[in-house]
Amino acid sequence: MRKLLLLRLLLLFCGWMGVAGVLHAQTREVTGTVTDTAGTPIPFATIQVKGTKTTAVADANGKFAIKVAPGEVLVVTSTGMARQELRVGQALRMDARLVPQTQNLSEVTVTTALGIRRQARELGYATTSIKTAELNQAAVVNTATGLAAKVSGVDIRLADNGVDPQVKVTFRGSRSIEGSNSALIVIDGIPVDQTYLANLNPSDIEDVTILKGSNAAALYGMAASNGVMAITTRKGRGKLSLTYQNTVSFESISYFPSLQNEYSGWGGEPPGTWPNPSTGGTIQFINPWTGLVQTVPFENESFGEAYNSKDFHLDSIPIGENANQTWRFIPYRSVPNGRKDFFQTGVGDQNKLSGSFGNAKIGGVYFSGEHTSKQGVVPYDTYSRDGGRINGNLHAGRFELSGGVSYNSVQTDIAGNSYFQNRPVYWNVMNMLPSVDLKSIKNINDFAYNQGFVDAYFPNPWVQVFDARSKKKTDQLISNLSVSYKVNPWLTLTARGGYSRTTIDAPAFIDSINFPSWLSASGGPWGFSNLAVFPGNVGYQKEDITSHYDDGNVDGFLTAVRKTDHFKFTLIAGGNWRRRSSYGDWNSNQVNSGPVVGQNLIPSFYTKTTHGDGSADAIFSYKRYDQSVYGDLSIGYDSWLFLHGSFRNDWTSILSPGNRSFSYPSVDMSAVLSDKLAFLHNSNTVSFLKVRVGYAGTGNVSLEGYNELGVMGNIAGGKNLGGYSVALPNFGAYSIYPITTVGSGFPYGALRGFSQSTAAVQNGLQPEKTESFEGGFQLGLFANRVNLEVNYYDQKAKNQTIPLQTSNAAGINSYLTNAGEIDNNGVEIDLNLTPLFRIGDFRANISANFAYQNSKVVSIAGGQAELDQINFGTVVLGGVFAVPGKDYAQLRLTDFKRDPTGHVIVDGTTGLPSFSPDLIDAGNTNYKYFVGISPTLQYKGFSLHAVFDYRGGAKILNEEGNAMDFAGISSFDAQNRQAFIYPNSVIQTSPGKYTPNTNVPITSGFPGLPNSIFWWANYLNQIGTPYTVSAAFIKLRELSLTYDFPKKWLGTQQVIRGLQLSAIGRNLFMWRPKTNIWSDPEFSTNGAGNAVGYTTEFQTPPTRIISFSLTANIF
Amino acid sequence: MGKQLLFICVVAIAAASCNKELNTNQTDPNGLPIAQLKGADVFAQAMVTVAQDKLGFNISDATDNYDYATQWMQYFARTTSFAPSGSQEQMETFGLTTSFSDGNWASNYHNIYDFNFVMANSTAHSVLPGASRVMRAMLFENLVDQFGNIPYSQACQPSVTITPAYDDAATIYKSLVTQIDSAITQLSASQSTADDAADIMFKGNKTLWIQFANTIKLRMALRLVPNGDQTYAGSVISSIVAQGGGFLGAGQDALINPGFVDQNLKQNPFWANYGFLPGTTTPTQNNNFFIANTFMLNFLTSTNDPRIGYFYTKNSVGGFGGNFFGSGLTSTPQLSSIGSGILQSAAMPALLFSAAQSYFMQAEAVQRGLMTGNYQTLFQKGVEESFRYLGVANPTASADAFIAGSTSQYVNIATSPSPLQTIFYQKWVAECELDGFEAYCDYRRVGYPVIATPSQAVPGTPMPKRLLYPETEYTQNTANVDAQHQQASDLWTKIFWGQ
Repeated sequence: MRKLLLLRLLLLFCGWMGVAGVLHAQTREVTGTVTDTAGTPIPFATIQVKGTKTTAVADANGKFAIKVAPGEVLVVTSTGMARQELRVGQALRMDARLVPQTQNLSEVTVTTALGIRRQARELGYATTSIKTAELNQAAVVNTATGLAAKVSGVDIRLADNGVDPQVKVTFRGSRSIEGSNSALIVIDGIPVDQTYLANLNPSDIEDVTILKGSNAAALYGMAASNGVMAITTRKGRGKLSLTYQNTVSFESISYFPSLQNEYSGWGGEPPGTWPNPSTGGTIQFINPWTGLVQTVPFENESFGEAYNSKDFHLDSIPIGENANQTWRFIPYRSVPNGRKDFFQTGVGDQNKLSGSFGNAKIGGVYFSGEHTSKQGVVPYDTYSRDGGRINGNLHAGRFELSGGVSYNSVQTDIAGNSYFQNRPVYWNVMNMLPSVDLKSIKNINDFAYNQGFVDAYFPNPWVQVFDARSKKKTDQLISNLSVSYKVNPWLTLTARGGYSRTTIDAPAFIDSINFPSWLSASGGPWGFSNLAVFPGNVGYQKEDITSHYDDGNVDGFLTAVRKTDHFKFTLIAGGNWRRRSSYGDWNSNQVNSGPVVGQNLIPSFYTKTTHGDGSADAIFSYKRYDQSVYGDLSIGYDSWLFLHGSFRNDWTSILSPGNRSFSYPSVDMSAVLSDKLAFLHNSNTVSFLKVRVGYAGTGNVSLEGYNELGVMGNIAGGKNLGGYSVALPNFGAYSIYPITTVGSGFPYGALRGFSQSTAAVQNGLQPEKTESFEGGFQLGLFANRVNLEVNYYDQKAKNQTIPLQTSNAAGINSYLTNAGEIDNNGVEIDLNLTPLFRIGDFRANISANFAYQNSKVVSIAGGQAELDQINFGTVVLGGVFAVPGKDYAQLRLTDFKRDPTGHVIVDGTTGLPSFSPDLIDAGNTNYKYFVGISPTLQYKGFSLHAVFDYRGGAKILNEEGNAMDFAGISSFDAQNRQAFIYPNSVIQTSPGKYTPNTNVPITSGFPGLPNSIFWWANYLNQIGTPYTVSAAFIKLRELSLTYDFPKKWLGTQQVIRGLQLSAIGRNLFMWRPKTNIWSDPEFSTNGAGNAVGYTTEFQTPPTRIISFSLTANIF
Repeated sequence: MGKQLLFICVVAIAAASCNKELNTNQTDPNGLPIAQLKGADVFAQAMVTVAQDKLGFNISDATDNYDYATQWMQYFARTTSFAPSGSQEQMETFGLTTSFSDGNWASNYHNIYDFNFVMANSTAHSVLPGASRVMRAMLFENLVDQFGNIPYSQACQPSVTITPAYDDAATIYKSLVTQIDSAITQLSASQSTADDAADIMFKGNKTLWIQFANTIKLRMALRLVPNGDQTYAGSVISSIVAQGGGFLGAGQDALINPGFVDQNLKQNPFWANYGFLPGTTTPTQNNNFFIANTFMLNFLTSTNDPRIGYFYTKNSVGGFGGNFFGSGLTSTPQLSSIGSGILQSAAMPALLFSAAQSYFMQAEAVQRGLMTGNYQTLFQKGVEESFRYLGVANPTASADAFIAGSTSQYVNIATSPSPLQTIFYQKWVAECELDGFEAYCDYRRVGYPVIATPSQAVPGTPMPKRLLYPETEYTQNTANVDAQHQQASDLWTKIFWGQ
């Protein structure tokens, strides 16, 4: 049978080439009944012989008769039902069973590679489409966030809840150890940088097609090995209609770390006497634990006495001194919400207008405009976006033109870092004394650090709010133009070009700070020594980054479609050219920090410059060219069996000439069994069944990355410490040509000094290869009221391009080589129940998706080394690693020494645990289990919609907790302030023998340093395991209630056709394991990078958003 | 048919221009590729890095330089305003971990890698290849003196291996001596070239380079006494004498100076670390943090050493005040900071090796009978050179008077019951705040000076005898470092030449 099929296939392909002809058969009468899936007759359905004018109409009982020849096709249509095609065989009786239009799985079309729309039934790989309504039901500002939890296998992870958060979009887990795992974003057929996703107006989107695997994406080439998110924007249709929408939103902090409110400040200062504001005299602060005269209530570290201490009582303490040298006081008692209340409810306002008109024969126009503005939860943080789009399409004879242009401008303005230790607002807020009510010290003329502020290390965060700002203006243009020419009925030539450009201007400043002479003399109420790290006057600091990047893309391809009796051939062949370039200019007046700068020694090469005034700038530019040719052939047999294959060859400028060309194939097959197998076709239960299987190879060079042009952050050696850093795409260009670095301080006069790069590159670096296998089925039951889709995939990313960390004894620290393999497999299940039930006007639907993802590191074999781990994320208390045989990625942490049963071993004399010399495996950091559930309830005009999101199977390290305990500010470290026995600890009595520790408490290892500081700030602080918890969560991501005003309420006027009112909540609730007392485990310090699995104090706390939306349809 | 031909032509032209486009994008415009550089472009930078590694520079990372030795040798203590944490805490508790030594290890090896480049890419007859060979040997010696067995024969050849195996420390020492010998041969044959401008230590003076090489060789030989291969050490010293080039002599400090000035990033590295911010009198964080050490102050006071005021500043009441190394939170109100003999100016040259050290080593060799000469005279020259470096007025006369007028066995070598001890104590003083690492090596070799255990350390914990292999070796060169079977207790395992 199979052989026969192949033979016929071959013959018919020849036939298509014009060798064989088509046979004709005799016409006779066929009768039948048209029913719905429940068997109820459908009256007056239309039956037409496909491709002819022969038509019949069913009678009131659904019965029909028509003259037709065997091999011809009957097309059965009826209002509200999906059309059905029946191939006429030898039988003289044929019944048609129609399914409701909205549920016809056979008729679904999706956007595939190159923006070509195809019937989903033809495809041998998994795709999912999200329509604009589903995307926008929670009035999202960022398109990616509207997709979270709605599609199986799609992981949308938010780096934080700032005004403009980074979003990581990955499909089907991780494949690349060090390279990007993020999906390619394609808008109207043109690939664009990920940043476009955040700035796209979600209402402009017609649909989003998720091409999850490389099978689907093979035609997009090397950038698509991580899957593709193909976005199609709207087209003009019908007569002129306008839609106006206004959304007002309210964002507030939902979860704040649990802070202690019992203990006042002290960080181990030497004894002394301090002014007693109550009496005007002096007092000695006494440490209640040791009895030593040494505690002072002004430290950032809150290891002082309890506010309710009997031994020590004050009514108030001075917090600072104003310009008139008058002391300002605050009550000496804790203010439980004094810190959290610093944050505000951020109000947002979004206005959108869009319009559309068109004519199916001539074309159409879609246009839109948007103005969005919102405040952050940090006072005075703002975000605004203005944008517009025009899309048009035109049919003119054999030509078809379509194109679009959109422009948007996004401006953010946020508080920068504190001026001398470069800390973010959030961290300074948390570190205020529990007795400080931040709202009461907003006047920075009275309560600034240079007014003898009470806190020795952390400035009043209001100073940053007013005197340190980081701004960023991003302008983005996307344009595309496509011209098609229909040479003949089966051949179409298409040329398509796209161009996008982003420009970013990110200035930041921190105002100068001057210490008045009276303060320099007296040090304010707390004496000069309070200014423990007295930085002296600091001048005005500013930095500015300007950058832009361009992306030009041209495709030319032909589409040929030939049909024969049983076969349909679709051939696409073409080529692609892409050029990307970027340019960034960093400029600063900081003279004591920032990147190493030198002089223009060799004009054509060296672009970093120091200017005479001490300011510096650095210029970076990158360019990349890619070219490819591709071919794609689909063969359909009798509209139920489909075979598809593609081939692509890429050439890229980022590899050496000998290795820059690489090619890869894909092949897949699908069968709509419900159309073929009689027992299914006639089944009352099964309405649709399709099975499919596919293989794809994708070449890739995962060297693409970003150059962080940091603002204000470089001082502390880190980056993005609150100010903006601009991520300049480098496209992986020049990775194989390491450059030298200029020695610090060079040039000295004319003396040059260069150092070889600490990176080296393997000669003949090859592209890496991802091999992907997938299979699955789609099942519709009970007239497709139940729709189940199941996929399995297995991807192997081999021979990756990895900058291996080398032994430093090799003279370098990074060696770019082909090494490593990740094996990534998983299961995805999507289930839709429509309607779940229906009682009168009450209707309920539910859709659910489940995904299991498993990414395992198989090996990290390099050309010259077999490594047992790769550290690709630096964490203070360990690291994020790729470890052969383990899940990708592994969190490895510092830990205590433990006995074989896991009890912490403590010293028999000091009661102190000892540190384990090796890092321990704490688990994987990427989520393994995903469940998304979206129920919808409808009653007349009301509809209630919710999205629940569960993720599990991952661990998170909260470095924030560690930092908080160093400072003594968390409720966790409010325990065990006195000597205590380490819980469940053991003492080693002889080698390998352990007895439970019941009587040896921990005592300070430092003479004179009380236990609290020693334990929390100096000891536990070095261990990662206590801060590592399950990253599981359940979130109520979206909850919206929409009311569609009845038409009759709108009266007879012809202006407003429809009116909708919605109340929407986003991230309303989050349920975490009790052990996670810190933050949202979805957050990542690493932004969109691979090293997820830890958070720090640099992510603002999680927020919830409640909004109200009014939509009017006009004309 | 014509159309098809046209099509083929278009495709061919397009393919050709495509290839051209790909080829034009093969150079990074953001920096200089190494292929465009010569040895002379790298040498000065490598020498400045040597100075930075030795004297500090990176304020935030004490482990990059030999800060630990400077503190352990009782030259510095810290103020009491801060509780120690991180590497400072590790130093004070003698509880060094594998995370302590990463910076030191990485910087030395990368610098060796740069000196390799100079050797391979310089004018053959210039002074630079020989000089680089000497410097490379010295850096390897520093690594062995800190870690014992290290990657050597496979090190710094990334095109061969990125996970170099470890070699035996004593074998490396012998190989280094051979390296210095061939460096001397190379230097002897060198001529003055334009590359001399890049020689920011001896300005292309090959005589001085040979003297420096001989002095380093002498230092390595002396490391082997009294605990190592004495016969070999003797033969090394004999070969130095036979070579005839001599040692660094009076006024011949090995000084690195690319043209330090009081500007950002261009200050002398010690000044940048422990001195004052560029163009200001604002002390650096480390200038605030580090103060005089009471152990050292007491010693200098007890020997009436006039250099005390050059090593340390006077406090506000005209005396000297310090703290004990690693002492807890007791506070002395009047503290002394780093003195003007050490912090001379932001533009001062960086001292790599002093003439004083050269004389003290010669004195030791003579006293031990490994070389002929008058050890008392050599000792006296050593003290004189120390006085000179510090800027003491009339250094020779002052030094001579200091020695002759002293009754201390730590000063007056003529009356000392143990001349060797006197040499080591005065060498230790001469190295105060200038070369803690050399003092630490002598301490591990001969046990002088006798130093009390710091108060912070866990009682009974002695001073470490080496550093542990860095954490990066465990993550990136696992098999090879594992073969060394290092334990945490190896902190107290001696280097092969130690005691």
